[in-house]
Amino acid sequence: MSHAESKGPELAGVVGFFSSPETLLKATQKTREAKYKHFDAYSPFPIHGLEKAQGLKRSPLPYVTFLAGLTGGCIGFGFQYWTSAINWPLNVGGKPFNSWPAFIPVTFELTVLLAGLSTVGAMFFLNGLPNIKKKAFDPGITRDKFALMIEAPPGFGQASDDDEYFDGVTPVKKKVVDTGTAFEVSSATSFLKGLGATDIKTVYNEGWF
Amino acid sequence: MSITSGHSNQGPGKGPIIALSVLLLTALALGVVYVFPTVSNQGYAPDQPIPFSHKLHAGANKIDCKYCHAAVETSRHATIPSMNVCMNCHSVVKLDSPHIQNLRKHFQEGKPVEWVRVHELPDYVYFPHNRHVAKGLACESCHGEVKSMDKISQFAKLNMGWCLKCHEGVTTPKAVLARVRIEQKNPHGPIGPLHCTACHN
Amino acid sequence: MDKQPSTNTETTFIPPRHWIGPEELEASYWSNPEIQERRSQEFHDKPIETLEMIEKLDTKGIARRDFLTIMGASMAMASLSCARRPVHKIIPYVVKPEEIIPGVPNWYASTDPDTGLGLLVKNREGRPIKMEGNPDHPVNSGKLHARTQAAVLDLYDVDRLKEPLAGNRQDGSRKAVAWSEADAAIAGKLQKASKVRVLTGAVHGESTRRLLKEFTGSFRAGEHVEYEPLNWEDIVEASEEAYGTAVLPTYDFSKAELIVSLGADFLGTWTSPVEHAAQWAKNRKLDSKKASSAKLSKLVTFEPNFTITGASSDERFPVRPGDELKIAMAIAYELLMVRKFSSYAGNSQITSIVQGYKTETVAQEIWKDPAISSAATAAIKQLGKELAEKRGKSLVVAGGLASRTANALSLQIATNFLNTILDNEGNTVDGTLAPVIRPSAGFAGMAKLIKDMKAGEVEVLIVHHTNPGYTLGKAVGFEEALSKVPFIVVLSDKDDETAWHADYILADHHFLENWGDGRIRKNVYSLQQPVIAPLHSTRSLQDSLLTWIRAAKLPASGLAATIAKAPDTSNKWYDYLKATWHEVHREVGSATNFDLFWEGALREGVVNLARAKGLTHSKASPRSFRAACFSKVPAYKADADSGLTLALYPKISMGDGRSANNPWLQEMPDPVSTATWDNYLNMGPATAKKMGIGQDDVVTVSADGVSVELPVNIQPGLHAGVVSAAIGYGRKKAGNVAKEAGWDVFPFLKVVNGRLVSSGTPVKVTKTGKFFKIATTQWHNATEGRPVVNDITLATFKKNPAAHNETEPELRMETVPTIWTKHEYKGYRWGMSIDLNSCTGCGACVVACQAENNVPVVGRKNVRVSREMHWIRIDRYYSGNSERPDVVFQPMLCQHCENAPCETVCPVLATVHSPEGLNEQVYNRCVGTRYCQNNCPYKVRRFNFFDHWKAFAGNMNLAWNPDVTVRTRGIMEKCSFCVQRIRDAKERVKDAGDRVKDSDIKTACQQTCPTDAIVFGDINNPESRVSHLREDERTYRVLEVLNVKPSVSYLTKVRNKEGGEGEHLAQKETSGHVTR
Repeated sequence: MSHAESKGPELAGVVGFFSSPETLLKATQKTREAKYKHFDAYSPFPIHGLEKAQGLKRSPLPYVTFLAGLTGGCIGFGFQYWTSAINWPLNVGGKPFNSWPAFIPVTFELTVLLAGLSTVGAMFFLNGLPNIKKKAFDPGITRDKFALMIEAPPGFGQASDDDEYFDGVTPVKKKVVDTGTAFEVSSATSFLKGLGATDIKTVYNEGWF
Repeated sequence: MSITSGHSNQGPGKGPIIALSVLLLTALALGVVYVFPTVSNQGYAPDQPIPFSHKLHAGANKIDCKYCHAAVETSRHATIPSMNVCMNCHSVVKLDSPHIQNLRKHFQEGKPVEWVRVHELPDYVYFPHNRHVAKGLACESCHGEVKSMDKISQFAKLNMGWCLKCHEGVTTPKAVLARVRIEQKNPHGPIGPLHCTACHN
Repeated sequence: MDKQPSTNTETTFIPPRHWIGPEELEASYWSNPEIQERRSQEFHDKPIETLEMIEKLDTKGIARRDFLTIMGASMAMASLSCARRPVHKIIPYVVKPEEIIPGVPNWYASTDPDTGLGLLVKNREGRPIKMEGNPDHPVNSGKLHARTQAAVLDLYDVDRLKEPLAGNRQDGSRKAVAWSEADAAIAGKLQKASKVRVLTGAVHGESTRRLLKEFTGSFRAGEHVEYEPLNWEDIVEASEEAYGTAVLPTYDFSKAELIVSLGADFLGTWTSPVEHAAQWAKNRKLDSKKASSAKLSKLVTFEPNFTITGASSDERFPVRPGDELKIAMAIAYELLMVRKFSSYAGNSQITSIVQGYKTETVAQEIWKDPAISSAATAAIKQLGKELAEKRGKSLVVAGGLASRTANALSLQIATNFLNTILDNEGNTVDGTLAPVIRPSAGFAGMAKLIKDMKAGEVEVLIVHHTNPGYTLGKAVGFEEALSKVPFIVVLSDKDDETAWHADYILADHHFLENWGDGRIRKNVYSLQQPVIAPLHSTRSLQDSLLTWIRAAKLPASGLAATIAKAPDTSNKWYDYLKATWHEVHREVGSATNFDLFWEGALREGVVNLARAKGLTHSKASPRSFRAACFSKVPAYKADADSGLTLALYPKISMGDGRSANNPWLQEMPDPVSTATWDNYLNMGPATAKKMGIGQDDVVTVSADGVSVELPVNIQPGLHAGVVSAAIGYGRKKAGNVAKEAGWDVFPFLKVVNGRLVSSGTPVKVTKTGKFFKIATTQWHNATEGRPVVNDITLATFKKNPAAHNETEPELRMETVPTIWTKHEYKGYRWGMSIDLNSCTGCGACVVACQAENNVPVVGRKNVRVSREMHWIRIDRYYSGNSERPDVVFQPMLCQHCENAPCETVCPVLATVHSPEGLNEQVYNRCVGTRYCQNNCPYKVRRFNFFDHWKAFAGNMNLAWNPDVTVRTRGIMEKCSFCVQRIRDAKERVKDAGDRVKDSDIKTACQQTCPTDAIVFGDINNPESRVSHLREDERTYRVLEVLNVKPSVSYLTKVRNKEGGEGEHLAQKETSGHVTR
């Protein structure tokens, strides 16, 4: 297998492949215990317990859904109410102007519509889609491969002029926040090897264009 | 068979570009429709067969609207005056003008002048002039400052929403509003009918 | 009482209480899945153009792809939204007539010269658009029947003659001529002629009669002959025989508590139906508050055909044509021989004849079915008893085309006799004070004319407003006689069957374009004035006569001579008329000068001499009977069983066929058969079953060398030996509408002993195997067993006025709990109450609504698939058995429900509820979803499937009411409670600060209903009539259980019938399903 051709100079991280979900799970756990902050597990199908092992936080998507649905419901009911009871009250079939049972279908539909659309949109956004910057390092991760990548922090390996900045008077050194275990290619490689990964390689960020 | 290259078979995603263009075009279309409404004849000022000037007759000569448009208090139509009304004056007035001579020729031959209609509502709308005049609504409220129009042009949109705004009491001229409120003993609420068969029957 | 279907424990089938066709009385009908499936398809969800249906619909073949053609055309007319706005012109008058204000109608009083009914004609911008009755006219008091309501459309008929024509009698070709040319030719002939006949219809106008007399008097052998196919010759002749005065008496049904009708359809087509219906209805109104002492008149009918009079009877017996005389004599037998009633009981000249008509003998001869004959015997005996008790308060009437047998004169003599001995003369029968001043216009005059023509005694024949070429048929020899007349001039509105034989066909005015007067009663003078300038190059008969007197220098005398000598104007007839009215002025003894009197008379339309002379409270005096006339009454002779006999009758919509080209009348459903557009052969169900004939089968009817093919209509309630057919159809030369409709049955007329006989002819009926689907509306609105109509007997009413009003489950709309608060109707709230007791089914409301609201005509094909457009329909329900059913008529229109099911489902809110309680239909908003029509439980919403308005091409556009939108294709419409009239009424009273009262607003249907069955008004006004009627205990609402809260309420029909509480009338509503 040819190695991933790195187009861009940016280093993405070090990836190791595992043979089964269980090994991946264990590896993930160990990686977290090793206090690596940036790492990700890849699997073709959801593995029970993987997010916990990875320490992923709960997605904010349900809040989006809820708020959007609530908005939709309010718009739906509110618009019907405004037109039927305030703006142009018309007696239709003897129903009162605020005939809320009749408003139910539209309210429901708008709730579902906005909730659904927003959820899809938010999901895309949270997933970083549309994504033209990154391509999957190996298409097999959606088929039959399990991988664990220890990611390089952004800007790693590049001449960084962020270590120091000038606040106008004095050069100030950037504070390095303790982000756990620092990333280093060789140590990451050996760590992965220690976990039992095969085919460990460094991956560079590859865009679509 | 596994894919041998890291690239996908399709070209790079065109999805976002398509999505964006559709969105832009829709926005453009809506904007156009908003800016250029298709159903109002506001500002329509056609040429008339004889260039009758309201500015002269109603403005300078101060002829009352109801002198010519005589049926406005009794009928739902205001009516265009019949030619004998014109001849009330123009049997002797300004006989040298070619337009008046044209008018007189029509009258003598028994041919009516075919005016181009400016204010026209669809057939399914039954607007009663007499009811509105009875409530004290001035002609200018809907027809604009006719006294200053050389050529009649449609002043108001005359669409249903415009009518309804006045019936609701939003754009009603103050004098009429005050009078109707007192008559109906109703300080709030609509001042004119809002049900459909008030105008559509 | 009739025998009821047995409900013993073995039988499980209970027939429905109210049924529409006799098939519903059979169990097999309800268990047949195919029939039930077809019946459930209210709106034909299957495509209508299946081959089978097409082949069944019309044997002549129809244009199958009309539907697709129309569709194709519509696509071509798809408009672009960015089209330039077209320039519209607005064109004023050159000199505006002072009385015309565009947008405001003018009303003119006039008279219909054919019927003598007083009219108020609504004119918009110089053209008439609606006819209403003149409330000041004593004959019709503001009411009109269907035919006069439709008369305005005849004015705009596109098939009218538009100019005079010269005709070629050899090849039938026509050439347009100028009036001057025609006049010169005619005057030339008249100058040299001495034997001239003027043949007209019945002329009521005194001035016209006078002119005709003066005209014909200027010839050595000049005569004026009148002929009407629907004439009352036999009544007038019998009056002469019995009383010595040849008059047509007037009748007052409002004074009669007991009425016996022997074939006289006095509510529909006999003599003066509008007047009689109003009179009859006065004694049919009931007040529930006074239920225990309620009185109803009683009507017992013996008739060959099923008329609306029979339908409104309390008791009806079907007879054969000619049997009416036997019934009259049987009643006389009961009175004279059994009860020894009246002094004539001792008169041997009379008793020698009467004694042969023993009631049982007569009944058993007429009806083979013992059930009916025993019921009839009992009824006749009961009549004898009650008539004797109600001296001076009863009425016996007879006559009509269906009863015009060879015995017609005898029948009328017998009737006169009965009225005399019952003291009705001078009470309910008026032959002295205000009889109808109308010539009998009968066959006697025509027979002489034919004889003269055949003998060559006629040199010039002028024909006006009568069409014997069509109405007399070939049997009488009229056409043959015409060929012997050298010069014929016909003045007509169409190039009709008589004009076919003319040398000159002169285009005639419509009555709305002409002056005239009418003296329909001895003391009532009506004026007729034109309400529109002549639309075409037409001229009235009177102007023609005056022109010819002048042009031919005829030696006329009197006023005609004076007018003819005066300077030549085109207003000669107007001058003549005005001159004759100087005499009326003198007779009235008016104090005002003539001009004021004339203006007043024109404005009122009528001069009531009785009122002017203070004679309104005078009583008519009884005429004295001459017993010698009984020599014309034959002794009793049993008829040999002659199989089927034919009765001809006029339909209430078509009359004698003069308006056959009027689409409103063609499409008006016949009240009893509910058929439109054609005539047919009515046949009783038992007869049809015996012969193996079904509904819509085409049969050949033949007698005496005449044979006509007609489709069969199964008509319950006909005598087993009777078939009947309507005249007035099959007119090939009356226009494009008329030639499509029906078949001509006038050829069945024949002359017997010098009398024209229309009924009683034995006929042979044979099947042809062909099929013609009669376009009926009756199957379109099946009740499915739901309680829709309610009828009870008088006895039940007296005990409980609310009888049978209960709905199941018990739900009165005021008591139903709702989940929300009702809307309040402050201000006006419109409602309607319809009295089923008063509704005779005459259909005047149907045509009036059509005229007022621009309701389109759809044609036979569309009526067949339930697409008729009438906003109000008269549903007809039978009850009882199919031999002698009872009938209930129920006018059904939009109920303007408070909880309207149609409003709730409109996706675009094209139908909403107004703050005054009206269910509004907004035509411009409607997109044609038709969900509302689906949801309406009363099925009163009509959908414009096609652009029916286009059928009113040419002049007919002038008939539209400009206050009502004309609907195009794809739009739903329905009764709007005449919202344009409501708006007008409100506007009129608003500025005065008043409220609209009953006198201010009448919907079109209410305005014309002769019996005042329909009452409309403001429910929020406790003084209005409709408020009172809604409180009446007799009130019920249709399908109240649905809780749609209709604004229209109905008053239960109460019949003055015995034997109430049997299964027949107490039976609950079922749909006829088999039960265990």
